[in-house]
Amino acid sequence: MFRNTLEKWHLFLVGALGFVLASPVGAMAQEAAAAGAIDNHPWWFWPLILLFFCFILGIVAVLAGVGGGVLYVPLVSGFFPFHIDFVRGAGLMVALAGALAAGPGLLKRNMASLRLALPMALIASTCAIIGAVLGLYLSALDPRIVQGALGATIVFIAALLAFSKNTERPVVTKQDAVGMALGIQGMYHDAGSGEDVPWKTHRTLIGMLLFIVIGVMAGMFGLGAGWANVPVLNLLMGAPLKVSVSTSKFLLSITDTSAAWIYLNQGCVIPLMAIPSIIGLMLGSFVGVKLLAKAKPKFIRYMVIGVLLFAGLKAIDKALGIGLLG
Amino acid sequence: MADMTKTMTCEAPPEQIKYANLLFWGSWLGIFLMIITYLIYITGVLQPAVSMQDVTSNWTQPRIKVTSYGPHHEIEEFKICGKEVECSISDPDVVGGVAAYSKITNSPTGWDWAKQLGKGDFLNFLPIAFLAVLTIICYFTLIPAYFRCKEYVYAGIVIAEIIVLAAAASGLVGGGAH
Repeated sequence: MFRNTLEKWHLFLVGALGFVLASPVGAMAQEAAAAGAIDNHPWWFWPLILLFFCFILGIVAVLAGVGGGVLYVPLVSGFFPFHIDFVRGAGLMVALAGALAAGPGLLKRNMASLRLALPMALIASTCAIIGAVLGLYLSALDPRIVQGALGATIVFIAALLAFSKNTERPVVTKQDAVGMALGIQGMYHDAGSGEDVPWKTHRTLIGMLLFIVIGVMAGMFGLGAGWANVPVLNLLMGAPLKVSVSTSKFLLSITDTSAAWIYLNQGCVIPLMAIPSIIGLMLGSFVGVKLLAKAKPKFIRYMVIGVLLFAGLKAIDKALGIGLLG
Repeated sequence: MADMTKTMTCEAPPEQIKYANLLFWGSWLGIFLMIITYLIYITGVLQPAVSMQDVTSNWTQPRIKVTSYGPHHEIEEFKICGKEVECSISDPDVVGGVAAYSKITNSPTGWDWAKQLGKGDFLNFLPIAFLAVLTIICYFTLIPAYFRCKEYVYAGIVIAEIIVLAAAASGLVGGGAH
């Protein structure tokens, strides 16, 4: 196994991510941000670095099974010199573009279910607007509030990724009244086992209530909320894992749309940084999908959990002004 | 109650396929246009409204000190922190983040970017806004399908979602409209 991890591409990935995180680029960014100094780099410097950084991030995100937004916001706000308002605006556009591109294939294969997504999306997208407005208000008061809350959320996400166990096919013996009234059920073809898998949900109302929290957090921090959608759909509501992951990805295209408009209308989306981020992440995702067959996702996953934990703690450190992590 | 037989098949329902097809073409068109408009911007084919140097020197910690407010507490006059005046973070008249950036670079908020599409930087908002409006367009295709199948609850959810997304896009929520 150890020898396998030393395969060429693996080394490239780890090395590249390590380089981006630990290199002088990160240090320079922090220095510039901390001092509020005038950035003397030519205009193309940061977009180019972002393109490369997001390309690597796109590969890593696919291999680790997380959305790009959840890596983008903490890492870019921690290691690049941009104000957190612009990072959240770009983060939402990154998550939105990824979800829009992935949605059609998942819907056509009936892995993502419109019947499951639509009620949840209505709740999450409404609350994402509230979250976005609240996030911008708090950030105007003091960006450290959002930075600290983001850090705590990212640490929580890292713990969630490390400890939560998904269930491939949860057993739902009796559908609840809300799920039944909305007809939230379906069937998909599992290519792995060759079976047609019927599914239905339970605890639908509690799931809906949790989407209020998910929406607010997605809007407030500019994160795609796949990390929260999947456990709610899978572990709580009993949708099969493949349906939960696919529906979650599709859901993001709706939740992030409403929050993205708030950030867009406020002027938080700066094309010079947002577009290289989106393009880099999408190109990286394509490469990531190709590498997936040969990958050792467990190794990448633990690496991502470690990076998220570090990024979260760094955000908290920055918000509290302790200065332990640079 | 919804008709069970409609959902218990491995085939995606027709309204879902229609939604998926529209989303597929729309999202890739948006991403393609995004690349084109970005190339136009960075190659300088169209002059930007805000110079790239101004963007990069203000995206780190933009802060202004408001020296005069209008009748609705809107910012009328200001000085740029660190350049024109020294500012303290505890000063209630010091504004930071995106609000300060917009004032320093004279960037529009709300839909005012649409008036400046001839500028290289604001041309980029066209594909960005297109991607952000795509879900609303796709949702419209679901309304007749759900009414035809007498799925009135889902038709209602779809209409409500369109209203929510349109409200977000309008700029009326969050104070972005001008």
